[in-house]
Order: sequence, then C-alpha cells, then structure tokens
Amino acid sequence: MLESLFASLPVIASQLFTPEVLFALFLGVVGGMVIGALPGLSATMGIALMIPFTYGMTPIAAIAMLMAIYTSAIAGGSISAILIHTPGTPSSAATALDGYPLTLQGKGLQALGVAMVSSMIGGLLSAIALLFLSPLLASAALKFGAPEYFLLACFGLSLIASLASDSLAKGLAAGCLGLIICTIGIDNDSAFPRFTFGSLHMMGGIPAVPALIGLFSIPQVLSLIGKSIERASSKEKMEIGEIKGRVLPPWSEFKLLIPTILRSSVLGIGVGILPGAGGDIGSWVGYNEAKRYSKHKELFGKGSFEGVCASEAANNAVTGGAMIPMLTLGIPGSAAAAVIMGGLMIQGMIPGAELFTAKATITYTVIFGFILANIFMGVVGLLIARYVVNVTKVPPGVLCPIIVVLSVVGSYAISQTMYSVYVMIVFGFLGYFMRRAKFPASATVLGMLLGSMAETGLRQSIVMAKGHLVTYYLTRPLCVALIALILLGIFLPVFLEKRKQKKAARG
Amino acid sequence: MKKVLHHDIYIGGILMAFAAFFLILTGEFPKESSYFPRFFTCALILISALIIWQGVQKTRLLQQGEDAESGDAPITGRELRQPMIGLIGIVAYIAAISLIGFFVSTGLFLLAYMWCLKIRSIPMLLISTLAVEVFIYVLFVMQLKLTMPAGILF
Repeated sequence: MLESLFASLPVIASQLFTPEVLFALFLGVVGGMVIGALPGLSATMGIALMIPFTYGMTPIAAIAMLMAIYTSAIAGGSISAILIHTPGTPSSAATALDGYPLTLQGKGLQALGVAMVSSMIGGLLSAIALLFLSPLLASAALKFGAPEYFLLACFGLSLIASLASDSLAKGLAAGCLGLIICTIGIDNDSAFPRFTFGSLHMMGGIPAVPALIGLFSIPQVLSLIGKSIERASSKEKMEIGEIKGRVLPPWSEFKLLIPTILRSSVLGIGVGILPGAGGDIGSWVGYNEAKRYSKHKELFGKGSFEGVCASEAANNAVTGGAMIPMLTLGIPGSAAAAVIMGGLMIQGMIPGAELFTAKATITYTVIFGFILANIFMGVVGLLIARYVVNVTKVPPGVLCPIIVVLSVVGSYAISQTMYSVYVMIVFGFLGYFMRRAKFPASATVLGMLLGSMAETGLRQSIVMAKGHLVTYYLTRPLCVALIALILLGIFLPVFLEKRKQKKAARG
Repeated sequence: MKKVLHHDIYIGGILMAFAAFFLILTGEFPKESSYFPRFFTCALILISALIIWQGVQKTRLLQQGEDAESGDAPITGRELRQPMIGLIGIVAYIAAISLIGFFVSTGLFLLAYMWCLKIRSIPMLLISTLAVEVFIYVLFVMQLKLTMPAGILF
C-alpha cells in the first residue's frame, strides 16, 4: 500500500494545493484555535458543529478541515490555560499547572510560544505516524473476516467503556445503549423494520450526525447556562495575564526542551491509538513522564517550560494517533475522531482497508493536508495566540444561543427535515443527563458507529459457523488474540484500580 | 432526615425499563433480525441491575453520613432547574420553527435567550442576532441552496 503513496505523490500535490483545500485548512486552523481557546467548548463539539459546513465541499477539503479543527482546537486550549488559568479544552488541564505560573512570572508569551511549537511538533509527528502506520495496519486489516470485525468492534467498545468512564458498568451501559440505538430502522438483511413504531422517518434509522451534534453541543450549552447567569450576576471581570516580551525562549533554553517534546509526542501517539484514551489522558501521561525524567522536578507546578511542552506535545500527538485505528479499522481513538468518522461517512468514505486501496489518493491527500494543518497551526498560533485569548471575553450568554442555532441549522441541513432536529434535541437531553450522571457519551457514539459493523460481522459468522459458533471463533488465531485483548481491555483497568486501592489502604 | 436516593438508582431503573421494553419488542422480529438487539438489550438489563446495586450502596453511604465517592454526589432538583428551563426554551424554539418559520423564530430565540442569560447590552443583542441570521442566510440559503422551514409567516 505504501508503494501507491509514493506513486501518487504528484496527484496528491495537485489535489492538496488548491485554493479550496488551502482555504479550508486555514479556516479549520483559525476556527479550531478560537473554539479551543473558549473555555467550555471542546474540540469534539467544534467538529460536530462544523460538519454541516462541509456538505458543499469536496471530500478532501471537508475532512482536512475537520482534522485541522481537531488539532488546532487542542492547541488553542493552551492559550486560555496559560493566560487565564482556565483550560480551553480538558486536554490542556495539565498545561495550566505550569503555564499560568509562567504568565505570573511575566513569561506568558514565551509559554504560549513553547506551547504552540510543541503542539506543532507533536501534531506533525503524529501525522507522519498516521501516514506510515495506517497503510501497514490497513494491510493487516485485509486479513480480517466477518468474525474478526465483530470482535474488533467489541474490542473498541470494551476499551472505550473502561477507559472513558469512572465506572465500568456505566461505560458498558452507554456502549450497549449506542448498539441498541444503532439497530433502529430497516434491517439490511431481512428488510424488517426494527423499533420504528410505524414512523417512516425512523425506518431510515437514527441519523448519526444530528445525534452527535445533540450529544456534544446541547449538554455543553445547558452546563454553560448556570455559569453564564452566575458570571453575569457576580459582575466579575475575567483577568487576562500580562502578555509581553519575546515569543520563544532563547535557543540555548529551547533546545533542552526537545527531548521532552519528542518523548511526549511518542507517548501521545501511543495513547491516541488506544480507543477511548483522548487528549486529556495523553497530556497527563506526557506531563507525568516529563516530570519523572526531569532534572528540575521542583519547578513542575511552579512554572516549568518542560511541563508546558510535555503536555502540549502529547495532547496534539494524540490527534494523529487517534486517526490511525479510525481510518484503518473504523475504530476511533477518541470522541473527536468518532465525530470526524461521522463526517467521513457523510462524504461517502467508509473507514477500512478500502480507504488505502480504492480511495488511496483521497486518503493520502487528506493526511498530507493534516501535516500541512499542523504546520499552519504552529505558524498561525505563534502569530495570533496573544489576540485569540480575547475571545474568552465573549460572555457565555451570547455563545449559548448561537451554539443552539448552529446545532439546529446543522442538523436540519443534513436531510432538510425537522426530524433530524428532533433527533438532535432528544440526544441533547440524553447527553445532558449522561454527562451529569457520568455516563461517557463517547461510548454511546462508538456503539452507534460500530453497531452495524458488529452486527454484520456477527450475523455472517453465525452463517459461516454452521451451528458451531464458539468452536468457529476459537479455532481462528486472530479471533483468539482479539478475545484476549477484549478481556484484557475490560479487566485490566479493574485489576489496576483494585491494586491502587489496596496500595492506598496499606500506605 | 429526608431520605435521598442516589441518582444511579433512578437511572439504572430507567435503563432497565428501556431495555426490557425493547427486549419485548424483539419478540416480533424475524429470528435473524433479533439476535443482535436481543443480546444487547439483555446485556443492558444486567448492567442496569449492577448500576442500581451500586446506587443502593452509594445511598447507604449517604444515609450513614459518609460522603459518596468524590464528585459523585446525588444530583438535586435545584441543580437541574436552570438547565431544564434552558432546555424548555430550546424545545419551544424548535416548535416555533415549524409555526413561524426559521428566520423569525431564530431572531426571537436569540434575543430572548440572551436576555434571559443576563445580556443587557442592546448593541450586543442586535449585532449578535443580525450577524447569526446573515451568516446562516449567506452560507446555507445562498451557498448550499437549502430551503429553510417557512411556517405561517412566509
């Protein structure tokens, strides 16, 4: 598959360097940075809201823009984390620990510069990993049959359920809910309408994009409402740290950060590949490891450039890592990647080996677009980060209704029926209570997206097994390996948690 | 002392009822169409039972005066009041779209919602509303050629 990449480089260049794609990338980078800098708005929500804007675009421009929003929003989260001590996205929580103390020391602009360059390097390395690892994984995926695809879907769900939630039961319940929702509509094989209650609209199933918009946007709005009223009543003004001096530390200081940036990037890519472990987990892993290896551990939490670059390189490295299983196997590595997968499907691109064979040119162009987006992000970030922080002054009272209107118009635009809007609001209601009760919405999304792959795989393997399903599965080496991974995915976090509790009780 | 049940009990109960209802519906499906939903509705019933059991344990801890696990305190009606009012506002807006048309209802919704969220600056109210309406019109109606719901006014 890699041969086709080198052979089609001239075509890729001609498709990438078009005004439409470059403009989409630029828009994605700037828009993502603004969304990321706004506390309360996540990268996932930003992508979900922007999907409707991609309907009129070519697949390359559309997907490249969504991926640019993803990486740029994660980097944008560092702006408010460093300057106002409020992480713009959960992925930048670790950045705030050292970024804000640096601002108080008058080094806010340098911290921003380090964050942007680290984000760019982390994102760039993850995009290169995406370029070279994806075809290899896709080649391996060609050996998969129906039973393996069923187990692969189960593996994705088991991991996201256990990683994304405080409670395994809640994670699994959210995943099951998604899988049940996915069965609503006409059954592809028997043409029997399942759970449609006589509704013509429901025969087409639950549209994924309005459901995604509802699950990620409306709960955000409802959570912001309380804060908005509180903030307006308190008359409290947002304090933005003083921004002055040079953008980057001197080279003699910066070169000492390079090993940390590289280590965090590799860790971030690894975390990104794991389904369910998003940028927030990646940044903490990067931060903790940087602290472990640092010669100046005492500076962590008090204003360490190493802390800022470790967290930022890792969370941006997660973005490319999360795309690897999504593009090759159809299993998103993070909630944001799951939403991008929805956007991909709308463009008629079904994740899997086909993306690297029949549609290889489009896919590779998108990946090169992602590389370019990360470079844009670094440059644009260095130039505008100090001004972007001003968007945090926009009151949530203005943002909330605008997000609602964009959610409504975005859902409506999919099928030009109010049915999609009703789906959006029902899922918004569901998403809000899931968030309050700590059920991971990402597990439900994954259930909805992986459901049909799991069902088709299961049904085909039932036919192929000729009545001996268990034996059939256990005699296929790949299936045995996947079953072992599923069991590991479910029970390892439980075991680790128990061990941690025991240690804490002893200590 | 007022007896407070942990919200996991209610949510587990609702999930179980939902799964049981869907499981009953699978009885009408052809055999091959029922395997998958039946398997996962049964799984959801079992997991819901586990969530209810966990909720009972958390309730016991609460009644013994111990804090529930950190960050897992019961959800109170007071906390839900503002978000639910907000949700009702959104539902009313969506209902109004079919009645009075997209652009009219959007304008009214934006102004009313911002006002309720304590935005009192008239220029900000008007500029935000106008900017959103123009943006949607240019992008969705002019560029993407979408027909927005008209309602009785247009």
